[in-house]
Parts: sequence; C-alpha cells; structure tokens
Amino acid sequence: MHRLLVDFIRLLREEELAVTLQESVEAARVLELVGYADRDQLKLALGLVLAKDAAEKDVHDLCFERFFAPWQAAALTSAPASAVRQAAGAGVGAGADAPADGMDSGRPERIAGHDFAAGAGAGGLGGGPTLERSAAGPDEDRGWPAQLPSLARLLSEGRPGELELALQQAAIAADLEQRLRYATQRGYFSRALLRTLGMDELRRLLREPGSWGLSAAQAAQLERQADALERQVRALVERQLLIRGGAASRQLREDRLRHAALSAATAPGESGEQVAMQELVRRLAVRLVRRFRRRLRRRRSGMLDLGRSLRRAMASDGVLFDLVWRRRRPRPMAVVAVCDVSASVGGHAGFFLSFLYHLHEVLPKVRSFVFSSHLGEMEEFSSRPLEPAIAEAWQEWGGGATNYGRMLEGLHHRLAGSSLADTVILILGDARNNHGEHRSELLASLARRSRRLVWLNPEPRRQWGQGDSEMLRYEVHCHQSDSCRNLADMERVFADLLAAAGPRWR
Amino acid sequence: MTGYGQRHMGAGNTPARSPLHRQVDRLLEQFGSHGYITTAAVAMAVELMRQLGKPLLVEGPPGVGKTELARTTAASLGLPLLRLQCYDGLDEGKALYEWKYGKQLLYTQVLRERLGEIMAGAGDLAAAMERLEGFGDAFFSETFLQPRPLLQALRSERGAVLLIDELDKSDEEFEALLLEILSEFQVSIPELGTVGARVRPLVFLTSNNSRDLGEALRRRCLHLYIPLPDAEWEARIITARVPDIATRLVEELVAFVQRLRTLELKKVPSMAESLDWARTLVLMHAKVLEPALVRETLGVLLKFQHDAGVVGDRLEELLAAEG
Repeated sequence: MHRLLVDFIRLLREEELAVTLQESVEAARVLELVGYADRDQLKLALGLVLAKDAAEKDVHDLCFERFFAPWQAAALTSAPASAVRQAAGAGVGAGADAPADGMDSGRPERIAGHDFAAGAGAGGLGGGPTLERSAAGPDEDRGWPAQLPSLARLLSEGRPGELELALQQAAIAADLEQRLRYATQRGYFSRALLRTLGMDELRRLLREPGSWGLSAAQAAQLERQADALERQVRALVERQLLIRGGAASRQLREDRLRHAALSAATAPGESGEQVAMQELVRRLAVRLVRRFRRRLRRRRSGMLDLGRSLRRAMASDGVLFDLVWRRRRPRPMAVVAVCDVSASVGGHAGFFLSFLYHLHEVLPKVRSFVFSSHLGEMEEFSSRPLEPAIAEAWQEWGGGATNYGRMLEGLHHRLAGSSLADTVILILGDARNNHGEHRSELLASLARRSRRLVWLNPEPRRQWGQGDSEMLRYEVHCHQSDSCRNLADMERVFADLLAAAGPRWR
Repeated sequence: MTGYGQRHMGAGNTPARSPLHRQVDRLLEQFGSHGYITTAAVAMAVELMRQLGKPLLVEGPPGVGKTELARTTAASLGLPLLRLQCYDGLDEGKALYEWKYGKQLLYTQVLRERLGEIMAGAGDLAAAMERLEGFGDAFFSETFLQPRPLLQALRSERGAVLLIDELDKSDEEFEALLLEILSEFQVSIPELGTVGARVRPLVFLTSNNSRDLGEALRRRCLHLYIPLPDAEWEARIITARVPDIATRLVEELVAFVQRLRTLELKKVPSMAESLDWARTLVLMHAKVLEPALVRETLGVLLKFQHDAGVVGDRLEELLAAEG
C-alpha cells in the first residue's frame, strides 16, 4: 500500500481517530481514484472515507494540512520556477511510490496518468536531484570519475530508488519511528541519518573536488544534490515527529494539567495555560459523554401489556396477532449544582461548571447556583454560552464572605416547591463558614428529599473540620463527600455519578 | 467548515482531470439541472459512494438540503427513490417487511370451510397430517409478504436510491438491524431465507445529531458534513431557485441572513428558511430590503419568539451595516 498514506493514517490514529483496517483499504482505493493531481480533491475524498463526524473532519483536515505541507515545502524550496509543479509532485509522491520494500513496483504505471504520480514514479526520493541533473549542461558528457564515495556515486548515477532505500535503512538503523518523540530531538536525528548515509564524507569530498577528478560543474551539481538530500532528511524527520511527537508531548501536557492542583489562580481566563485547561475540561467531558451517552439512553421493554394486547385483538376476532409490550423510558437525572465562588474556591467552581456544561448531552437538566455571601441562580445555564455567564455570575455573586448557613436557607427556599426524587445535588465548596450559623439540618432535609447529595471539597480530607471548616458537620448528611483538587478528581466524580446513578425506569 | 471544497466549483483550472473528476463535474451539472446547486464536496461524496458501493451518512444543521440531496440524486440518475422516515419506535415490521396479517386471517376463515372437504378422504389422524404437510407453508410465502422500504430497495430490479431519513430519531435496535443490510446488502427473513440485493441500492442516511449514532454504523458509511452555505453560495442557490428575484435584493438578503447566523439565536435561519424568505419577498414585490418589510416577514426566517425579539431590537443596526 502507499507508504505515505500509511503514515498519514498513523498520524490520524495518534490524533485519536479510530481508523479501521477496512477504512484504510478504502482510503487506498480512493487514492487510486482521485490521484495526487489535485490536493484539495484528495483532502475532500480522504475526509469522506476516514473521518466519520464533524469533529473528526476538523481533525482530519488539520492533519492533512500539517502532514502534506512541510514535505512539499522541503522539496520546493530551491527548484527552478518552471519545474516547481513537477518538483512538488515528486515531493508529495516520494514516499508513496518509492519501492522501499519492493512491493510497490507495479504501482507507478497504474496512476501514471497524473503528473504528480508520474513525477513520483520517476523521481522517487525527490524531484530536486532529478531535475538538477537534467539541467547540468554540456559538462555532463565528460563522465563521472570511477572512484567515488558511495553516497556521491548514488547521487551522480541518479538512482533515486536506491537512495530512498538507503534513507529508509538509515531511518531504521537510527530507530527513528520509536525514539523520535520531542521537537528538541530533531537536530540530533537529522544529523544521525545524514551521518549514516555518508554525508560527512561527501562534504569533505566537495571541499576539494579536484583531487577526486571532478569538474567544477559536476561538483556544483553534487553540492546541490547534497543540499536537496539534506532537506529531504529533515522533511522525513519532521514528518515522523508530526506522527509521534505531537501525540507524545500532548499526552505529557495533558497528564500534567489533569493532576495540577486547581486554585483561585487558575480561574478560567485568557492565559495560555488556562485556555489549555479549558480545552482539556472539554475533552474530558466529551470522553465521559461518549462513554455514558448510549447507556443512559437505553430503554427496556418490559412485560406483556395484556390489556392493550387484548383490546387490539378485538379487531382480529380475538386472535392475538399484535402483542403490546410495556415500555419503560429512562427519566433523565436532574442536577442541581451549587458552587462556592468566593476568592478561595472560585477557580475550582469555574472548571466544575465548565465540566458540567460540557456534559449537557448526558445531563440535560441542570440548575446551577452560585454563592459567596448570598445565593444566586445562573439562569438558562445550558442554553447560554458559558464564559460570559460565568464572568457575569462571578461579578454579581462572587467576592463576598462565604456563609454556608445562608446558602442552605436560600437553596431550601428555592427548591421548596419542586420534587427532588430524580435530582442529584452537587455542592462544591470548602465549608469554611466564617464562624456563621451552619444550618446543617437544612442540608439533612435536602439530602432526604433528593436522590443523591454529593459534596465536593477542594481541600484535602485532613484539613476538613479544622479552623472554621464545618465540613465534618455537613459530611454526615451527604450520600457522598469527596476531596476534589484537580481535573482528574473531577473527572472521577462525574464518572462515578453517571455510572452509579444511571437512569431510572418508569 | 464553511466553504469546504467550494473553491473547486469553477473547475477547469487544475491540470489533470481524472475520470473521477470529470464524473464529479457531470454530476454537478445534472444536480444543477434539477435545481440543486451544491459544492464539489457533495458531488464527490455521491460519486465515491457509487464507486465504492458504500452508504453515505449525511450530517449537517437542519435545512441545508440533506434530504434533497437523495431526492436529486435519484432524479439525476433516473432511479426510484424509496424513503424511510425514522422515528422513535420504528421496527422491522415498518422498515423491512411484515406479514399481511389481515389477509392471512381472511384466508384462514375462508379455508376453514374447505378444510372438511380436503380432509374428507383421510381415514385417520396420521393420514390427515400427511395431507396437511403437502400444503407447505402456504401462509408464509411471497403472497402474504408485505415488503417495506428496506426490502423494496434490495429487491429493486434496476437499483434504487434508498433514503433513511433522520436516523438519529430511531432507536438503537433499529440501528443494529441496519448493520447487516448496509454491509452485506442482504437480509434474513426466517420463514423465507436470505434475500440479497439484485442491484446494490444507493443508500443515503441523514442525521441531525439529536442522538449520537453508533460507531459501528458510522464506520460502515462514508461521511459527508454539509455546513450552512457561505454568502456567495447562498446567493447562487437563491438565484437558481427563485428566478424572479432582483439581483440587489439577493445581495442584501444574503448579507442579512449571514449576519443573523453570527448572532446568538436559538435557531439560526437555515438555507431552507432563507429560500422561503426570498420567495415571500418576491411575492410582496420587494426590490430592496426595508426595515418595515423585514419586520413584517421576520416570522418566515425566525422560528422562536426570543430570536425575533433579539433581531427586532437590532434590526436597524443589522440592516444599516449592509450599506
């Protein structure tokens, strides 16, 4: 199969697109149908086969742009203007049709109708050297000296297939696919590959071409070919880095962010780190949604509905042709979220609400309250854009001295008329009440009425109850209380909530 | 995503046109002659689904022409269109096949009287059983089979376009049922055996994403996302579908609608709605957009009171920006 395509699919898989074997085969067929002639058409066609929803399309398009761009640019940089198109074609097709393992030998003729592929079939490693050779001029007749280092011989004889093979072997020797992970390794691996190919020797030779019996024109030609090869090697390293490195360093960053302690300083905002965290929250939430959404929607058919079946049978003379089964539909779980937005816990609350917001699909019924000294409700929580709503809520309700007693009174009052049988109440706060009235009996009543009451405390468990913390008093009334210090904790809490609570059937 | 692949509509400027590209251009032309103006991306998807023999899953906001695509493809290729509208509770009986219970019942009633005659010569129970055996499964045969769209599509003599509309509205059991049909193009009827497709139908599935479709199903289909059209595109579509409209009005209308789509509305106007609006304005003999006229006809474009309020408040500003 086309090597370039295989690499591209590897990149997509690293970016968490689940490309199946069947789809790879189809992509190869699409490649044959569309050819390399038209980059945009190819992007469209591969997108149809490899990406299976709108989000995947975006990932695919980004990957396509990144994957094909540097490779092309590397082959293009020094080619003469008239040959630019051909050179680009050779560059793009280079990996695809190079007979790296001898299996593709039949391929070039089949798609030779397109000039991109034709260039690739002939050029193999890259258009640069091939074109330069044809432009070398009359001096070429003089013939090449018999004794030359192997790389110089390869270049001068113009056997791109062998050169490509040598490049692949060098990559394997350096264990490029496995060891290249981070952008900082780029230089090291480029040098290692060039050394294995014999570039040092070639450069030495080029410093004194006369002693090897080379004419000035031949030396200049070799020089250009050596430059082209260097670019080729750098492009290869770049491509591998794109495939492996992006995912590896992303994983590293993600792990770090997931376990970073949240604090007021990391409130949602504009700085790079915070934006990255927001994005991570979204991704974690999406992952949870994917995990639970199907399960939460599942319905069960129950027992035979005898009454309705008999009534229907009246039409057929009492014969039970049409059986009716009782159906039970899940009742979606409602959530009441109550967040402390005082200075000490505000950062957590932002991410918590953001998490909840992105879980909208599996938790559609959310009422969200915020408080510090007084309780306020964020109206139409799920249907408005989140960030301005958060900013507004913080402005209006944040910054006061926290008073949990007053919060509980407010909550009790606002939920007074409604049934909480399907409702999970989530409270996020450190329970530091500034020595005010704790009103834990109200919490107990809410816990009794609700399906589940969960308290998330950003402080570690050992600090609960110390100083003005009322946590120990509140904890006894909760169905569940957890320390929730970072995104990983939050993810776990929500996963537990979705898994344990599940839908109820009616 | 807007404008995905639209650059290629002008065509002809790229060097080598492969057979596939020529086919795509031809399809676009045919679509155009049926009044369906679309992008190369869409035509490419239809062409690839024909070549690869795979179903095409079409997603996108409501009103961008997903259903219309299937209809136009059927018309362009001269194939019959079989449409299956999905809903909550759709099952085999409605989608695939059903036994004609009423007819079976009627036949039993009629045959009951004949039964005595048939059995007349049979001496004992064993002989009667043997005689009955000879009649085979009279009641579960083609005569009593009521094919529904899926089976009709498989049994169609010269192929068909099968549109499974709003698949996200159906439940997961139905999705599982589709898996066999979409990958093998065959279906098993316990009483009759396996029915395979005579000619593979072209299958379009559409979804508005009200529920996430299963991975297994997605992976069996090609996937096309149709976004809301950009300004240039929308103008072309309106001009094609509402020929009597004044050029200036088209420009103003498109600019206005595009601006509405950037607002925070409960439901932004889709292509279908801007077409309706264009038709309305033509009926009212409008040549330019005037605030009073817009205010009167806003209901065609916006479907929520909240949205109408938001736009109504800023109407002058939105229209002024056009000048």
